[in-house]
Amino acid sequence: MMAIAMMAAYFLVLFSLGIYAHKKTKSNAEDYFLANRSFGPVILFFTLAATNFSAFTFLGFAGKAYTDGMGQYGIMAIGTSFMAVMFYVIGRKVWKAGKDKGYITPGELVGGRYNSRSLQLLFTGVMAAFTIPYLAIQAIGAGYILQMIFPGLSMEVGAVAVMAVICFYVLSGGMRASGWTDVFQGMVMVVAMVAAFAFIAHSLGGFGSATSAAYNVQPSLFSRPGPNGYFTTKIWLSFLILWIFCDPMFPQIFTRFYTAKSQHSLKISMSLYPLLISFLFLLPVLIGVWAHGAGIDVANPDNVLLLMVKNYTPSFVFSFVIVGALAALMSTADSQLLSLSTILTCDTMGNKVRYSRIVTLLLTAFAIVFITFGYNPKTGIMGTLVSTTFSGLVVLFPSVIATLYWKKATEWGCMASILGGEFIVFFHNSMPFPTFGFLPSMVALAFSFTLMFIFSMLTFKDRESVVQIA
Amino acid sequence: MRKWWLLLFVALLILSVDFWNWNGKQIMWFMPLWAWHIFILALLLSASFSLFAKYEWRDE
Repeated sequence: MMAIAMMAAYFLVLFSLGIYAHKKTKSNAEDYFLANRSFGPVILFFTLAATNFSAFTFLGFAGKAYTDGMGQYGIMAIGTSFMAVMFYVIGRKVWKAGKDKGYITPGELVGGRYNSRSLQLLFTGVMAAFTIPYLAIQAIGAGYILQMIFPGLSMEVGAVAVMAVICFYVLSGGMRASGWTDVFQGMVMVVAMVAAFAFIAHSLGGFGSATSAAYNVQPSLFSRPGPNGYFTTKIWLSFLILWIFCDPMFPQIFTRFYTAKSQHSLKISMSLYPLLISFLFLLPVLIGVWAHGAGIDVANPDNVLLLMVKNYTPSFVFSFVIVGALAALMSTADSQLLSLSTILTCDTMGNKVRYSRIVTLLLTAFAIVFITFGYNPKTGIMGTLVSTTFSGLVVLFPSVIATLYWKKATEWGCMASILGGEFIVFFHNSMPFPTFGFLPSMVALAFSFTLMFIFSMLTFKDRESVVQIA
Repeated sequence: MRKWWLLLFVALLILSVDFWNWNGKQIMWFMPLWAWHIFILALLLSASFSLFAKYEWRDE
């Protein structure tokens, strides 16, 4: 009963924020897509955090720590903390270009520098191709989370219900609704995680006792490379680079740089990001590791956090953590839905809010069809895209950084960099080649940077047609 | 960006791959020493970003 009440209250707040945002949102493009570039420090910080921290942060971190140990904290926390430097390196320039030239999408910025429609479409196509399957996966995840509270509910019905709620408030209030709900969802997520951690630690006899019990069962959980030898220095370095370069290439993160009211909002977000990460990422990882000392045995490691919460906290905390996991998932999914509809509309049909709403409905319908027909997310082209999302997006980075900072960059350099990088990603996926202990995405990124340099140098002419960016 | 800010961030980046203590198992309170190292580095990063935003990042 408590769980149903919490879930109902959570959805009610989302609906209310959606309706209120609708009343505050005008039907012009800047207002709907970018909240009129008006996000202050609090909203921008929370929306950047909540958008980036998905259900993977909540459930996946604990699962990975359960199998591979505390290295999961280091590999995620330090790379994501460093990523905040991109709020200055990329965010500041993107914000300025958006303000000066009225850009709304990442593709407009990259294509706009070279007056290249082809490059704009290529950039947007790659961003969308690697994000759409992820949206569908999030919907499936939502269905499974709802089943924790409503065991009689099928995964499909739960997933469709969550997608419908997300679609409602995105359609109602655009970026303003997405940003406001992110603040609420971010707070729910943090409070739920802190509550889960505190109750579990208390039930296990305190922090020290919980750690000692786990250490006695499996000491290798507390050292690197961990029980399965996963956390090598090369993998660590690969992830460090991957998070710094890849995270800003997510359309839902990139488009948020345009929404800042001023550079002050970006500065505050940059300063607070590592602070939040330093403790928030620690909590699920410790819970996952402590599960060994508590004698928890799970077939699917992603369930370990919920099982720990169920066994070691009062029922109202369990219900609240379920809501927190759903909040983490929905805050990412709504931002993906809005950013996808924004780039797919503005980059192909112009800045038309009405068309964007149709695209939002189509994307939601796609996710629902994906779920209803029981498509296996691990197979086919969709499976390839899901498993290569980070690699596929990180190869966009050389084009963005060159567009913003390198005068000799050309559209051919950008195109070669993107296409060559994606070729390496797919080639490795179908015919794995040696990467010398590093992630394959590092090879793709190096190749992408090299092609950017070579093709730009070969095709650079001192053209006046090149547009100055910021 | 002035050079010493870049040096500071590169130094923090190098410190975050603590290869000299990779197999360390020593536990301090409820975490391994290396995890405290990462935790403190993230806090230092936050402080560095704050100072950078205040003294180096000029509004355009």
